[in-house]
Amino acid sequence: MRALILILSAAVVGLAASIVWHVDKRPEFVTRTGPLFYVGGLLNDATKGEEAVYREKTSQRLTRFLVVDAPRLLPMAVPYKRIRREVRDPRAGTDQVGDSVTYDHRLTEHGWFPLTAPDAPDALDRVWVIRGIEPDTLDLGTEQRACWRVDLIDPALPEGSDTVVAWVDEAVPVFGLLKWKRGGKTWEFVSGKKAP
Amino acid sequence: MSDRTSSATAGEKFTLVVLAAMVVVLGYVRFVVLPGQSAPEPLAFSFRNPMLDASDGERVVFYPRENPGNQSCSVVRDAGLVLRPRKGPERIGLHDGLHRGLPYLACSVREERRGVGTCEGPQTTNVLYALNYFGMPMDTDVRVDSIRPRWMKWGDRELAVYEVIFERYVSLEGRWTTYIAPEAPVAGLVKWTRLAATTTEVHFREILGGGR
Repeated sequence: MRALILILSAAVVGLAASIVWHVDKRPEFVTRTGPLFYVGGLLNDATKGEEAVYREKTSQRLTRFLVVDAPRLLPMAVPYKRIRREVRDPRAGTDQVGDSVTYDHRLTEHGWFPLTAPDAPDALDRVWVIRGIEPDTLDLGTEQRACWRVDLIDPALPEGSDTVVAWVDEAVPVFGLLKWKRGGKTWEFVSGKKAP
Repeated sequence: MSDRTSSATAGEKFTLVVLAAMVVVLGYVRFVVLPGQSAPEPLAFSFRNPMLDASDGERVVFYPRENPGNQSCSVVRDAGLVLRPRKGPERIGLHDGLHRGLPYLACSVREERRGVGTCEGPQTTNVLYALNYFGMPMDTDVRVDSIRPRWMKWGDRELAVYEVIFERYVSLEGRWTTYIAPEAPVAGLVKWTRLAATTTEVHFREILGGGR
């Protein structure tokens, strides 16, 4: 009889331990939510001196974004970053500089992406519209980079060919852009630096 | 002595029965109940902007949480989705200079007779939702901070919504949150909240047969 009690006691302990082992112990915020896209880690976090350089694949022209100023403002004030965009053509012998413009990128109205017409920052009708967002992996040749793919609409392009696709990652300086495609052209991140 | 022996035997029998019952119950929980409760997979992140699918006349009822009887309707205006503002109207109600403004979804706000869901009350104002503002009106100064999918109860349904957290500036500044679902009509809004000294919360309710 006592041997049977011992066996049943062991079975009770074993089953209880097994239940504790197998039950889903993850907190509700894990089982009830998905991955977080921290938009605040993109341009909002950029500091003075940060820069990122991109190469357009067809023309080989280089586009450089530099954070000229990232002022500390009162909590109520609309945040902005002063951005300088430079376009260079390294194949034009003298490393010609053109299309350089400095503007204030207002994070509320201009959003997270560069303006295609930074010389007209008040033309808000040209701000890209977000169509969709999803996690993605970008093949960078040397590594597979986990990032976010953002599908956009550029209202300045004709209907039917107005799609813009951007891949972003917080670790990339300034806008967090790894790559974007617009109007049949592709820009890829070449180099960059965070502020010292 | 023999009494003690028989008493111990009765106690042992009782213990045996209790243990056997525990084994049966625990075995049922371990091998029947637990396997049936497969843990939900983490929600996938696949956001689609619901405003781009809004059609003219689409409508939704909204009301403050603390006063559910005070209901209004948001109804998408004719040609309300404006992707290219230069081709849209220059002015809608009090909203001016739209040709050089952000792309938007234009809605009229109407009084709602309590619980009827007709949205045929008089128009009180217009609201323009900027297409990148995740349910916040265009005349607010907001910066998106984060986006995350989560499950949420909406009416009788369990919906996968996107919780979008903002910083708002200039007026009514602070932390705001909208909950957006592709299935929800108009701007996709299910709820918005403002965390301040007192929490403000507005709920959106679909109109059966009248929404998306």
